[in-house]
Amino acid sequence: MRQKRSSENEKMSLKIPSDSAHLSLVRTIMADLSKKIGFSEEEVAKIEMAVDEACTNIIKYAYKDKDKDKRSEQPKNYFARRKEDVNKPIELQMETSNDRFVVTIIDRGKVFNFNSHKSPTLKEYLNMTKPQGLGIRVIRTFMDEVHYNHKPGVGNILRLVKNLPK
Amino acid sequence: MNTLHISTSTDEETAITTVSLEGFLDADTVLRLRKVLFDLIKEGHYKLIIDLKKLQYISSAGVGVFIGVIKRVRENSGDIIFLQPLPTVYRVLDILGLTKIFKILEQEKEAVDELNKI
Repeated sequence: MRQKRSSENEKMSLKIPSDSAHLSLVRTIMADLSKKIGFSEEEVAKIEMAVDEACTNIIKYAYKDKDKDKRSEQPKNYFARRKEDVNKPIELQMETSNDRFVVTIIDRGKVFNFNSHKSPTLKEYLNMTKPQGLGIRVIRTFMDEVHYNHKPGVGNILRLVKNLPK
Repeated sequence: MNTLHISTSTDEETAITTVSLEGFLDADTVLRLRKVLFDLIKEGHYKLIIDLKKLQYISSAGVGVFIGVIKRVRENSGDIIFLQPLPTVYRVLDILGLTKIFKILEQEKEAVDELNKI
């Protein structure tokens, strides 16, 4: 993890492969940083979960669809698929200050319009064998600000902000 | 690394199976739980108590696995009851609307009584 310190703000970045095995590491780092800023235990848990959900969506949907597109073009080959993983990074940039915590999550997966996504209703959930869209509700509920942007050449950029209560 | 421990026990007399979860239920560990639940249902176990008292973390992927099976369980005269979630876990269940779909109880006896009524 890279770290850059200034007088007020502290910036760090972390790059992980698109693999759910790394989610616990991401949660640990989020918890550690948000605790240091002074968030309560409850708020720390919310930040941890929101970032987990954002990364999970990238692993399960953004890069999964990308894989699917590539697989249709290429013959099935286990090693070829493993090699592709190198090209599926998730970058997390964390910025902490004395009054807020900002996490920017960048991926190169399928474009997803976060803002136009509507969370399913309870009735719709029950009719799904593999419910989707729950994570976005968590992110929106637990974070104070959620900003999505797709930048050509960079990818999907999701910026999550949590303010320290005054 | 955060792990999930899963243990199950079935009371043959009441046909109630308790699935005890300990640790962290996220998009990674949920795969094992999904298999356990699917196997139980396949074997005809439709009355399930999910003991959450030692579960420290649940993400939406974990929540989703219960939503994914509840319809089938109820169609077969069964149900899923959550037991003693920690406040952090309860909050997630509540935000995602599970408190409206599933019964969440504090005492095992209450859960057994509820399932025996079916």
